[in-house]
Amino acid sequence: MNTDKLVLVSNNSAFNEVTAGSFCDEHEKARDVPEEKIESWASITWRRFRRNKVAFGSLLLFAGIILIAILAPVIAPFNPNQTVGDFAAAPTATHLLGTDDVGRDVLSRLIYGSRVSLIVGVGSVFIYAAIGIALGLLSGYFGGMADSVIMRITEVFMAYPHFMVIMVIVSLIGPNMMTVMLVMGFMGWPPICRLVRGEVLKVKSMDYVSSAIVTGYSPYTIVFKHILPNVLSPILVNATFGIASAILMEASLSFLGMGVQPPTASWGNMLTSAQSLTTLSAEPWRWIPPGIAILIAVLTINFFGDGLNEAVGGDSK
Amino acid sequence: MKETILSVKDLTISFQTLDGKVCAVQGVTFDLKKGETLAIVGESGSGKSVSVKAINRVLPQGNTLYEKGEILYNGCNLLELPEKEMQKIRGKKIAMIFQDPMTSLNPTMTVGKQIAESIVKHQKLSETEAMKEAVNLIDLVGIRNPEESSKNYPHQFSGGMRQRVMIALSLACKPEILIADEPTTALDVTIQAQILDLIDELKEKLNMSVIFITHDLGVVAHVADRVAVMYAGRIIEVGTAEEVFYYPQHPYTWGLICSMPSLDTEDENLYSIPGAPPNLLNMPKGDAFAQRNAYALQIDFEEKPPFFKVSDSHYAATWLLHPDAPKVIPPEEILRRYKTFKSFNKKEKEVDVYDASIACAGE
Repeated sequence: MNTDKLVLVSNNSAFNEVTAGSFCDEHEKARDVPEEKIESWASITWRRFRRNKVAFGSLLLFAGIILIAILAPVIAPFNPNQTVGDFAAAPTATHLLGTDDVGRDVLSRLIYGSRVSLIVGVGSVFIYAAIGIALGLLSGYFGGMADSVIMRITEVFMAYPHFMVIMVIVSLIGPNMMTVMLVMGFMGWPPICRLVRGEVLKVKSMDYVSSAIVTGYSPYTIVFKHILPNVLSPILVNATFGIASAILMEASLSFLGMGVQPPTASWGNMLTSAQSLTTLSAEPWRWIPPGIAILIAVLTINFFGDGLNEAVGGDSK
Repeated sequence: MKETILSVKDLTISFQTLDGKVCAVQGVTFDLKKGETLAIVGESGSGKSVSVKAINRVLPQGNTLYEKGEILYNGCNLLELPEKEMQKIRGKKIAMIFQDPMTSLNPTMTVGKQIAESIVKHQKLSETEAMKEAVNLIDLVGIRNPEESSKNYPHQFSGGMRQRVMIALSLACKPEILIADEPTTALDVTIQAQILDLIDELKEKLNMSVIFITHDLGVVAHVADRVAVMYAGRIIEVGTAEEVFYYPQHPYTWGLICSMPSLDTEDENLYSIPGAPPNLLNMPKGDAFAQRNAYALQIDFEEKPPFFKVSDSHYAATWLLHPDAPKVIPPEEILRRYKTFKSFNKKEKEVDVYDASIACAGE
């Protein structure tokens, strides 16, 4: 053992600083200045999100689908709405996924179909999130009469099967991509409105809202600057899952002939052919690809949503 | 005599709850002088927070009833001011600090921005000027590297640092009155002392008046010029810090002081006032403290005691001060304090003139 080291370190600088400086001097500035890197909420969330491999992979895959949708005219081998080959032909080198009953290229239709799914999915969620957030903030922050009225309306909206109503409305005003998106948007806001209201009620009781009030801010400033940013994470997560269910809903409507109408391709109406038993058993190339496309889109969004939920959840640290 | 800046008169507030009407504040009256620190002491539920939140009108709307009374600030009654006008007073004239620094800052905004926002709102400065001012304030409350700290988010600060930021935020517009609602309760003792000193120092610097809410008598002794003791929604004793600490008259104040630990306490057990505060849903007749009071008189159970004057600055609501009341001997600790008080005031004779029980104290 090295006994040389068993001596007092009299000129230990840290020790000297404590005794001579802040320890005795009352007016010494508080010492615990944070030294970590300054990070915004978004960058913290991103850092946490990236650690989740499945979620991060899903995000990449989903980004790929978005890219395909945007670049559809460039990458699709054929015009999706024109007869370009034999009727209901099995996959070949020219038609990688075969053709449908009127000779349209399945791969091209699949690629163009992603546009419909994404536009309807994202668009309807945007519409209902906007309505839900606005009404939820109003009802949660101001309470009273506004709250009662809005909550009764959400209860009415949530009290009957959504799908039926959407089907009826779509068939009344004519089925196409725009109407499906709008109807889903205007019907889907109650759950998000309730979520926002609940979060607002929670955040409203926090001291930082009280301290915003005693600082003399107007309700407008308080709601948009001090409450909304703090309820955004659950909304974001909920909206992500919302996109997945909107894609499913559009596919179901199209499958039933109430959504996007042929010849425009959508994953849902491509599946319609599977209603016939011959197609189902003998022509799997016509329904398996759109089925898998829907599966991948929905799964990636859900995994992404889970990862996001994890990343924003818990402590802000 | 310093000028009175805020005066609360006969303030009575109740809350409508599912169980019925809760009378949280019953006829509270006090004045706040320019440049002084008034401490309001009392146990949980005594109505101290409610009384001061009423000043800034931040009590939950809807179920709060302002039954009686007025809060006069610069000659206008804050309780009758429209909400828009109130927004101009909050923060700019009357600022407030809350108990828990962990939750009183917005987690999604940098601290500098939060302070600057208030400056932009009340002083109509540009964003960049406000940000500079915010950095100055952060420096003023003793945070190192103010420039960099201003760009941090609240979660990057410790509790004591956040409370400093809260103080900077509340001082952003140089308010005339600072209401501190238990600002040190959530902090540990060393930080507590720093924060108290800071508030005191800034009070002097900015010539503010401070209303200090606390249940910690040690804190009161540290900062207060005057003390008001609250019990079950009423102020039961008010006086200068010296008077309340060394010449207390109300048996409840006696109880509070006796239950304070001191360095020379040799007893294993600390004194505690027996019983619990009355249910504010149905208040007992007479003095609310009578049930727990070892010195209760028959009249305490029947009639509320009015305020009796002890000195020009010292009043207490207890029948014991009535000229015809029987003389009682306060606890030993209180007698000891009376003696100290007497030695403070050797030259002044008035002590003996007003006091009845001091005669017993001498024996």
